[in-house]
Amino acid sequence: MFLPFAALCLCLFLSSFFNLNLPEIKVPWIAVGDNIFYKGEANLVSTLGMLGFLVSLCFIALSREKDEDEMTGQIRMQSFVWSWWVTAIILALGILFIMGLDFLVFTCAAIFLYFLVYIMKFNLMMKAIRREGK
Amino acid sequence: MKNTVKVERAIKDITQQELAAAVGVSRQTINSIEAGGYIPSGVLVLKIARYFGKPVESVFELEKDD
Repeated sequence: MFLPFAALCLCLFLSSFFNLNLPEIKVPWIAVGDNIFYKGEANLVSTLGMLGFLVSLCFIALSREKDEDEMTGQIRMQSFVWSWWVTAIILALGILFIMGLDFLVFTCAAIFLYFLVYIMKFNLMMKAIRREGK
Repeated sequence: MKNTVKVERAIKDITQQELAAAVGVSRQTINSIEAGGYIPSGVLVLKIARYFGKPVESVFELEKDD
């Protein structure tokens, strides 16, 4: 589930930089937007792509390890705090140094930043502990 | 916090895996406790001490800076 949605999101992200034309499926949509309610069309490809990517990241981040115990819980907590700080620093740098339309792309990518940093940090820590124990 | 888990394990002649299975954690956790990299919870400390049939203070000991 992760790979196709991740690939789709990467394509969406890159399309904003390289003016790629991705296929669009427009459907009528009601959401919060201009004049309180946005009543118009939504691009199903990008909406479902981002939603699927978010859900798959949640599954990866919150899935239990094979040998989950109290130390794993502590590593999770440490990874949460670590990724919170890293995300905050990256966001701060983005706010300071990214301007114009690129900032919009950055904020879209930043939605997933916390999850990605957390998953990376947690898995690296678990890998180090498993290697240490061998 | 210092501990004598490795010594107690050697006295009892059991592996990390056997101790881990007896107290319900992973082998990596026992390894980290022995290496001093992880400070176990109160529950796990009690379980380990009970498994070795010794008082907690003889297996786990506070250090000066704790």
